[in-house]
Amino acid sequence: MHILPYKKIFLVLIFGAMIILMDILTGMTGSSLLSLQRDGRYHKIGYTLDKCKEDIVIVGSSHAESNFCPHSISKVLRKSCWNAGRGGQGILYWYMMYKTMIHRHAPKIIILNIEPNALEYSANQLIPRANLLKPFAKNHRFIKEGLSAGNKIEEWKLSSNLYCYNSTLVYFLRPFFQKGKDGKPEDLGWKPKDGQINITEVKKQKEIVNSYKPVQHNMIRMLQEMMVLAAKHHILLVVVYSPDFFPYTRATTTMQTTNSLASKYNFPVLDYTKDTNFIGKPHLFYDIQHLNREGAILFSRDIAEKVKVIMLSTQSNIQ
Amino acid sequence: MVFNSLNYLLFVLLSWLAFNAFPQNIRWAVLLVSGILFYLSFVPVFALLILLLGGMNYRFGLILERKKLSGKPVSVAWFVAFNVAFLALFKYFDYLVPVTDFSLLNWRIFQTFPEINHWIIPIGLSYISFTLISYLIEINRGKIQAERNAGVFAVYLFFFPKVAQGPIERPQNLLPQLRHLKTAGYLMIVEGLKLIVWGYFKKLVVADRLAIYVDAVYNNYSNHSGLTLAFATVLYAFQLYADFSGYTDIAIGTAKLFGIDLTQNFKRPYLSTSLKDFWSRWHITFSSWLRDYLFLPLALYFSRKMKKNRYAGVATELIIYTAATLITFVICGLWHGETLNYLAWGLLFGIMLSIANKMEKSNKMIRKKLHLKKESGIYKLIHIPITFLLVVFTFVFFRSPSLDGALDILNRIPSVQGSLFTGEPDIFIYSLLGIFLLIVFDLKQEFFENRFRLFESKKIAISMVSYALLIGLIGLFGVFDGGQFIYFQF
Repeated sequence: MHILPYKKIFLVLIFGAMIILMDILTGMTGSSLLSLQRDGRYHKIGYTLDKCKEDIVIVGSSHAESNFCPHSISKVLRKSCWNAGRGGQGILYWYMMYKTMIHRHAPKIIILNIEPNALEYSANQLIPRANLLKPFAKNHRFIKEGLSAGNKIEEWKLSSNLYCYNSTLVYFLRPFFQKGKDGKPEDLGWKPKDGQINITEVKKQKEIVNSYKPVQHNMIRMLQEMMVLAAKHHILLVVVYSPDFFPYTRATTTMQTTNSLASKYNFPVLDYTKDTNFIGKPHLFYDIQHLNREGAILFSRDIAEKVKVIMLSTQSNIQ
Repeated sequence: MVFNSLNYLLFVLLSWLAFNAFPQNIRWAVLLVSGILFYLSFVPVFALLILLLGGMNYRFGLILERKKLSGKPVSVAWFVAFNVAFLALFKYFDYLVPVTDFSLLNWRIFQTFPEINHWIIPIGLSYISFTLISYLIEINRGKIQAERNAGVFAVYLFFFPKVAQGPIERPQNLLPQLRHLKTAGYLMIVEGLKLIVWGYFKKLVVADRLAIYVDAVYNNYSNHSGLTLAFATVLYAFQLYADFSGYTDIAIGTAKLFGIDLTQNFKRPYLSTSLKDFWSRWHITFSSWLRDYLFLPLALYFSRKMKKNRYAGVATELIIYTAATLITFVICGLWHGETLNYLAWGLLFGIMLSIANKMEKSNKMIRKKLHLKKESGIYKLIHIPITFLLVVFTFVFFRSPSLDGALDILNRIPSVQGSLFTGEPDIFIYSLLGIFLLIVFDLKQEFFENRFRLFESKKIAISMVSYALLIGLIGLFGVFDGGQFIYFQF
């Protein structure tokens, strides 16, 4: 088959145009589906980034997502509350979400639940997890910067809709078929865990986590920037270490670093890793790391009461 | 530099531009430089080892030919043994040097790239060694002349699309093409690009997606049900096929951009109607290598030694076939790895093929009685699933971390108790989607080659839209974590 030279160029151009058109169509379909989300992970992210106006916002990973009940916190503090936690994520994800949200709306209080090893993860470990935010990269500068981590090729890839909406279809469609699977809208971002820990099945973790593993400098930088931003916007940032069923966490480099940063910027730290009101109480836990619904409500009330005291003392200091 | 990275595509583009910018008589130099640069992107020091090995074999080839022409032939076995020993030194290093505190990995030069730190073997050495052995044997058989141009010979080893994972090219096919490098025409380039797109589809959409599920199950097999283990093994069969044939498609497609035709390595192996048929469709360049340089010489050797018609009441022909098959497949297993599970995998295939050979006569009679032809639909409908299941069964040994692990898994599978682990729903659904598409494409190619033409449509518009959609599928459902190819480790 002989093809004339000008026709070859024409065919290549047409093929290129087809790919671009497909990319544009994917972007249009993706953003339409995104805007139609009423619950599910993408709704939660989209709401946190673009819509939430709550006074209190909870940030963190699975501990934050399941341990903090916004209704209980609101009731005590008489302020609206939104739980922006997301399981399986780390500092990088929180940082991008936090920075984007604050750029638009500065809440009065941010509760930051920190995992005792949160600063040990490198960006290379956290970026694949945070790729969940790819559909939002186009319209949110800080997310694009965070996911590309200075890599120009990645930045270029993030301008493709096909790449940004990669592997999103199932979770885009799931809320239409299974409502509330990824958290019910009325729970305001909270993902309660129903059930109780079966202590006979849980192997007792005798090993005390006394980790002094090296922490990642760019993760410290992100945490520090979060604190600087909070201070700049007059946000009360409350750092929380959630309780685990076994009291296995004593001290970690992450906790020490976070504590010193919090103290530098005058932010309170609530450490529940040794709190016997929760530790070892099977009726309050779903598994060894997460509180169940009852535990989360109690815990949230306790946190809220403590935050109330902190707020009162801050106010009296000011007066 | 892995094939599934943007760096690779950029590297191909730059190499292609350089290749076409130079006059034809020195294009081999461009391919050599690109091949060495590609190789250097892994563990640089290994490039020197391969150059050394290549240089020695270049000399061996010339010596073999010269001695043969002078009427004082030298045995090729020495040279083959040298290559086998060189391969074994690296491949079975832990067994040959069983001193726990000595490891090449402690040496700084071997620690360049973390992802291959646990492999001490130079990248592609298994493939390169087999390529070199076939080169020497073919000279000895008088089928080719030894290559005079050392540069062309080096490209024969270092041609970057095939250096890391094959196909294992015969000198008759590749050397003449390298001596007379041509410019790929428009149609050849389009054909190459199409193959590359297919390769990426298989790797990124099917293999790497399945890997997430299969790894989750096999890395923690003791906590999964028999049903899950059985399901994961079936998925692994598709993962392995998509991974390796995907790699081969990218390699063959890339070679076409440079006007070079590499040998086909896969031909829809899971649509085989027998185990023998399977090995004529799976890793073809390797299986044909084993047939031509191991199985047939062994069979010839045994037939020369065994003069009687029967031994202990068993037909000599059967003994020869069985012995040659078992030895060949044990070596096939050991080529893949030094652990016992690979040995068991090879041995199992050898035993199954021997049994199949023994049953061939009785099968023929049954087919005759039932008036069932091998080409008939019913025959294929029965034999394709049986063959597939037998192959999947062997893959338990191939995928397991150890022989004990494989036996444990095989012990648990028949119980089929417990629920099916689905993991993250998206991974599960995308995995099934990938397999579905792969099966549909293979079925179409096998049984309806001239019908339902989309990708090979004579109407350019249909073909273009099909490939654009395929690229769209890769973009939407591919896994872009730069996962390594499975056969890279062999």
